[in-house]
Amino acid sequence: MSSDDTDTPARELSNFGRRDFLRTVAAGGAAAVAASTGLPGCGSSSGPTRRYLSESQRTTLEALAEALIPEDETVGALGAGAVEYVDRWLAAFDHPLPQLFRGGPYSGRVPYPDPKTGDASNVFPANHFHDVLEPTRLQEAAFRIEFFGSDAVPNGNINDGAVPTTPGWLALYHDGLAQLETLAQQEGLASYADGTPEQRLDFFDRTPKLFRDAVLDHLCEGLFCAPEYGGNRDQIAWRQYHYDGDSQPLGHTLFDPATGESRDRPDQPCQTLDPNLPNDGFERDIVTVLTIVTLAQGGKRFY
Amino acid sequence: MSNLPSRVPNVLGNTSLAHFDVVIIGSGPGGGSAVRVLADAGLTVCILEAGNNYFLGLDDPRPGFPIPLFSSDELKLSTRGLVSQQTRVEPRTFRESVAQGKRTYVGEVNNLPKAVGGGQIHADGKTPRFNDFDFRMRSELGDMPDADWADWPLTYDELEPFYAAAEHEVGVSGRAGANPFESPRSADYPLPPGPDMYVGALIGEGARKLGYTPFPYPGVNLSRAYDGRPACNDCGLCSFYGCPTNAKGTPAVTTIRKALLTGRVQLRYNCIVTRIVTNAVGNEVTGLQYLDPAGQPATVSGDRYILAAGGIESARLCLLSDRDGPGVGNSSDRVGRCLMYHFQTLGIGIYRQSLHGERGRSVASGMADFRGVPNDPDHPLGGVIEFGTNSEKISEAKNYVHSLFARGRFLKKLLRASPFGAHIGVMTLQGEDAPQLTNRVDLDPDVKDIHGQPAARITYQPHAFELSASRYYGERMIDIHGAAGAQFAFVPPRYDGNVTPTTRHVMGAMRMGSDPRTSVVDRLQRFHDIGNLWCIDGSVLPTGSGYNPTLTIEALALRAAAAMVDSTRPEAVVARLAVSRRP
Repeated sequence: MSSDDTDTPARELSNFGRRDFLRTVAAGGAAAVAASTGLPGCGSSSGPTRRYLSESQRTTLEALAEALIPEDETVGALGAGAVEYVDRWLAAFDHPLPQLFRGGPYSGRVPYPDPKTGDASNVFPANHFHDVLEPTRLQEAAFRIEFFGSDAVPNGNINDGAVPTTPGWLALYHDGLAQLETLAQQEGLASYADGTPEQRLDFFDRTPKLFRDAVLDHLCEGLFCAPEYGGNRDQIAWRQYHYDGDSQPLGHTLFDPATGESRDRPDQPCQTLDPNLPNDGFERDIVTVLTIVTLAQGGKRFY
Repeated sequence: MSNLPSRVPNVLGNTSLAHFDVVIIGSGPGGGSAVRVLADAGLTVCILEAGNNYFLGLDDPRPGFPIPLFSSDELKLSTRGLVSQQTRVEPRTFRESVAQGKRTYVGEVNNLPKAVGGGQIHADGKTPRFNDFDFRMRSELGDMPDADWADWPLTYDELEPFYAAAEHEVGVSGRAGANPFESPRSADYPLPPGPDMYVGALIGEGARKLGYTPFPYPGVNLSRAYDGRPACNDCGLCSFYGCPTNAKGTPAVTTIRKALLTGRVQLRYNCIVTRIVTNAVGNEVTGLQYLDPAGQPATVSGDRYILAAGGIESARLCLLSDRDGPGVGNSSDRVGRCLMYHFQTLGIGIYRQSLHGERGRSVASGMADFRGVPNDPDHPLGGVIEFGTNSEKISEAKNYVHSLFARGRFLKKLLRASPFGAHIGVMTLQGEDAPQLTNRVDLDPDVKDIHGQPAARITYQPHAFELSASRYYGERMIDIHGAAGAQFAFVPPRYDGNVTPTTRHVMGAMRMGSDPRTSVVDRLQRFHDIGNLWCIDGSVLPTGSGYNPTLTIEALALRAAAAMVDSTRPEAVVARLAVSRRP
């Protein structure tokens, strides 16, 4: 990015801010900014990857993921890395700093705008999605309860009697995955992975709701999360399901200093129909579902 | 200013202040606007904020700061709730009515962000004003069974200069007169409207065909650079997300930053106030007890105090502070009562074409035709309509899994077709709630937060007033979607019993009024019962209008704080702020 001597004062200030920001980012990101200014540290590198599941547990979860969100003409949970996401998430507390929240503001996937034209520049910010934010005392306590159960923190079970206690995700996965294997063996299968997709879904339906909800939520997260969390490998799910993903710092409209107004990006229009996206309606069985949903709620179908 | 930025963990601003003229509980639009006026007038202020700070260098005067730690990251902000009250450790409880027993639900009940900057961090920044008739609803509507309508102790005209000041402080983009129902303004918006979204243009065209009058929605997402901050670039993840570029004019990056840079303000975050301590007769606050970031008890005191903890927590704190009595400032038995939300009704349209909701700023246009007119049966009182869509992929997938029980190949077809994602157009009616004495905040008798303090319990049941408006305008929203070319349109039931409201517009529990028997604070937001305590947040609103409340909260905050400085000429106090705003 070049400097600009003809800007309005407000714009100049904004540009100066951006240059200053670029310098600090180049120096190593938010953590470096914190260090250089004496601010308390807010970010640290995520460090080596850690996983939680044993090999056999992971095999079971992979077989489940393939049944729940299978691969067909588009990527499924397994191919997108959703199981890898779950495996890393369950190990979030196996790091010196619990890996609950990644840093910001930018992922480095998208460049800064050129301050003269508003178009995409060739300057990219560093990827702060690799950083980890230090959780607050209460955030850490809340997630310790989610992971390890109500007894894991002092006073975590304070509402026993009024609220059901939480066993925690680690216990839910441990027991739920084991139960899937037991159910498979009861049906004469050598392992859960040997079941047909229908069988695997059937076994899954017989596990406790808390386990089912955790798995379903986590696989959806692993399918569409930012890739730095271990899922959505190389943004494959964003691409195949026509989702732009994160767009900062360029965004979806470009502020043009010459006109003083914002305009659309040619590749991803904001204000108008995008002819490159699916615009041709739904196939028949989706129409059937939507018709049922609409009529059940007293709505209207328009032709 | 040489001692800025602070180098003390969990403290922003001047760490060496020894005496505080004013201590504020909460740094949202209420406290965050008040501190701007107080610091500008030369008073020293301490703010206690229960949540964390995600603006690196918020008190660093150098250009380039603050650096927000937000990001377009659905997991971090939406799924895991970076700025949310974590319900595992700070639950709320809910019931519809006393007849249901102690509670029917424990968990998240209309939580707003808990962080430096408060509720507006997560909002997509829509900031319309209220209408002039909103200030005299009792006079307009008279007696209504089971409702407690009130006139405000001030008029729209009295608040107008403060509306204008608030719009300039945070940088509101909009066009005067575009909303034909807008009440008179003394000046145009500081900035012109930004770009529309495709979904807004589409639904707006359908609305226009049916004779309605859509307009660019006024908001704090800057349409061009302003006050040292860049124009919004419509990144898409706005509602429920902090802004990664500071283009969203939330209190932290506008009024709080300016106040911190005066050197007269100290902001202690991750500090949870547990008790307002009063003298023996309960008419003067002598100090605050709080838990410091490590969870250890601490205290702070000042000459005057402002309660600005938000729509639910302000009432809860008054009740927590006097467990054996009626509650601090509660001789009227009004603390916690007349809790109002906006009764949101969603008009869902499913369109054949992709609406690419991840491009834009969640809502860029809307219409006020459904706000209605008092006592006009053809135009019942409802609320403003926002034109929006969906911008989140993870929550969309979870919707298919949990609502349609989709698994396997059927789930894959839904993910590809994206009917509730890329193809959904949403009209949101912000319907006005009738205030009801029985809709209230009190303390749950059993459920506690992790510190052992009773949780807030919400008792809430909608009134026939908002239910009938919801039905009336719901039908019309379906017709607008039809005119806009939707293939399907419906209104999901917003209320079929035991629904915990999720509107995030939380108002009324600390009513402002002239009569100490029926209100908690007076017309300048000072407690009737307590000489040195003010309430400056959304809870003071006597009625909730049918417009988003944040700008009104900010305008009232500027006015109340200015009156604390000079009760005879608050307009002049606020007018001086323009000097310290950069052009």
